[in-house]
Amino acid sequence: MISFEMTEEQTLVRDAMREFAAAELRPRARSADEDSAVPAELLATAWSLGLTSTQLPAAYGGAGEARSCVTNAILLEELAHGDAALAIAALSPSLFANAILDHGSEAQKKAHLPSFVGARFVTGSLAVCEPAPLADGSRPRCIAEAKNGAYVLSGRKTLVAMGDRATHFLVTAREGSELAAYVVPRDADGLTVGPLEKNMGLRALPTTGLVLERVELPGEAKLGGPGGANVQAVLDASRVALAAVLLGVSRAVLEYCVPYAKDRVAFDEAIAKKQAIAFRLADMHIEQHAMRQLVWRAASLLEHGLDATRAAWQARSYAAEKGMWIADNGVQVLGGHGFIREHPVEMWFRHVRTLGVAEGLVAL
Amino acid sequence: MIDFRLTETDEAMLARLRAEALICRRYAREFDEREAERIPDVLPEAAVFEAEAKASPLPKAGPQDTPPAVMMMLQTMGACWGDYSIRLRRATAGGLGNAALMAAGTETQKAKWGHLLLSMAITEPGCGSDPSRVSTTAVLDAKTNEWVLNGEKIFVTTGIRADGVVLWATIDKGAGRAGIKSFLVVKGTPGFDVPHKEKKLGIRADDTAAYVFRDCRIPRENLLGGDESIPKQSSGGFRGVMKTFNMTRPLTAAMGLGIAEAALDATRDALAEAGVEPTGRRAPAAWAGSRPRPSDSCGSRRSSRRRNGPSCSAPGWPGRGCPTTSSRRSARRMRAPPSARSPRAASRSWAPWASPATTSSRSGCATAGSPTSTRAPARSSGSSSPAVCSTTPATI
Repeated sequence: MISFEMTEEQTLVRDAMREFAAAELRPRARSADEDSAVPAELLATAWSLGLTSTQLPAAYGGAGEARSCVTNAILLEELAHGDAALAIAALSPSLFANAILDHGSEAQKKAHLPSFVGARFVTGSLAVCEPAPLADGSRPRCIAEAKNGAYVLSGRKTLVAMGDRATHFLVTAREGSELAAYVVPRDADGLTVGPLEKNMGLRALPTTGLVLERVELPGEAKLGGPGGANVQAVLDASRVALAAVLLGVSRAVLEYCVPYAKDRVAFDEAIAKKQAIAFRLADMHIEQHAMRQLVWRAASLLEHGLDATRAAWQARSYAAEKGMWIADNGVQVLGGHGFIREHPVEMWFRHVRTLGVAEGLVAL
Repeated sequence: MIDFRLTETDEAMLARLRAEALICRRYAREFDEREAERIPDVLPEAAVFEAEAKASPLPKAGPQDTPPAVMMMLQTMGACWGDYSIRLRRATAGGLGNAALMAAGTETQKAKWGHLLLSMAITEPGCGSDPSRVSTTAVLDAKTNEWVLNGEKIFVTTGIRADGVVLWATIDKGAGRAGIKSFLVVKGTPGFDVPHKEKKLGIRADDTAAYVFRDCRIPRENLLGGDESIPKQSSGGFRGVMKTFNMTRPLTAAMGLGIAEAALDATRDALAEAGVEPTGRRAPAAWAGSRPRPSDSCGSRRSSRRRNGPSCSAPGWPGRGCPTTSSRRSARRMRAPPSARSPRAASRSWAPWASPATTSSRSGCATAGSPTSTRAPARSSGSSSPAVCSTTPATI
């Protein structure tokens, strides 16, 4: 049945997350951006909220609640509306944990999932982006050589979220002609975690590069075991999640610009009454609705276990393009004030521009 | 005659600017991150560069060369190819306020303040696009023959380093545009404060200030032009001062273009390093590695051969014999990144996409090289700067 109604539970989740984001994320956003650091107490608070652990099965110590990709997309939009960088940081454990839960072998689930139900914030990272032009998440340049049931990984990664504190990295690589992923522990021989990257936006989110120089991994390191896993589905989930984050930031921009335009007077009336501005705001409104439809559609396909690759890419591609357009227009509506770091719009613009090129920062 | 060609003399001048820009660029990232500090007025490389420039002076521009007003645009574009705010040696003359003084001031006023660096303060928190809404007030105290200024200004360009400011204030809010006058306020006048430098999205190193005037008293003679009357019909001096924007607006566009060109060139460099050669076509197969045929740019192959004689030499560009050869060639020289021809791939292990510019280009590259002739080597002298560095050249 085609329906656009949120369930009662989804409405509750949305409202709860909206409150949390307004109280905990948005007030910290600017100082976290200026300092290029995520506040530790925020991670602790988010952790105690159980964003990751509630959705892990009871067998591994989680609350065993049913996981809905659509609900998670709604949740992500609300958190990103508070602040994209802090939202991604807070949810980073889910990125790793969900990949293991959905696609890992039994041994991998037993080995890694229990870390995410403990008392302290623990995270892994997904390493997808590579520092080369024409990079494509589905066609990594990173190579895995299979040797006697073990693997040797070589390559470089960048924009690895929470790379400075992840205990494990899920690294995508090409094994022959197959897209695969491998769990690499932080202390693996041949792995170098680079310094913190200085990014244009999402500055509060720590990201690093990785250098893998013939890192030797045992057979159990391959996601899904020797048979491999549907790594494309991991990428799909991450792309839809990124689109949801872009949606949240876009909505934040729009919600800031409309009152500003109604208040700002120039040439004898509020600029919201000038057609050039009014049409712009109306189009921004339409586009964020369109983004939401694409995000929900892709999330829905993921939730029902259907092939979501194309829908995920469409959602992400559209959200990135329109998100950048919305954020750019947001800066423009605010005029000179859009350029100054006293208003949040310039920070959202930088967030969106960074999200437009990133892959693998977050997942449903 | 409509013409877009550059002469050899034009190119020599622009090549020298490109060499300067490459020096300024080395400092761009550093000063962007140290935004609270002032950019130095003179860079360490200035003395050597200027000595070399003196030793090989540029040819003088003549009537057949591009006129100064247009060259100013190209020069601005060229300077911003390096960095928007950093200069080898900062010009001591000419803030926006100086232009306003020249446009609206009396001879006495020009003589008195013309040597100062003057900023222009127009925008306020409540008005920007609509300058007629200026609400900073200037109230005449007839007893002391002083104007008393009250108000707040933002986004003042060169506001921190300026010696004084041309301030837009209204002497009669009810009169709208006609009540707006400009006043000269020297830094250090009591009641005139510079509370902070603006924190911006970009051009962070640039000197953009906020000003506050609280019962700031200035002599009655500091009203530019001296005309205290409020015309009933016209908007008075308002129009005259707005005219100063006629020159600065195209210059601002040139600045944007210079930065855009730098971005495009850097992208081309990065792609070249990764072994990706853009062909200039918009087809999706652009990076499939196929070489474009000259006919792609020059029209059909047959007509191109008939018109141009020997086949075009470079991919996508008209070669010898093309009627627009000289303009295209000079345009190509203008646009081709000098570093594209320098041997870099071997010396670089991987492109540090996220890391700051390597400092190696600052050491080891003592000179930017000056054009020894006005032909193609003029362009490559700009590129010889990174090429002579044996260590990894600058990323940016």
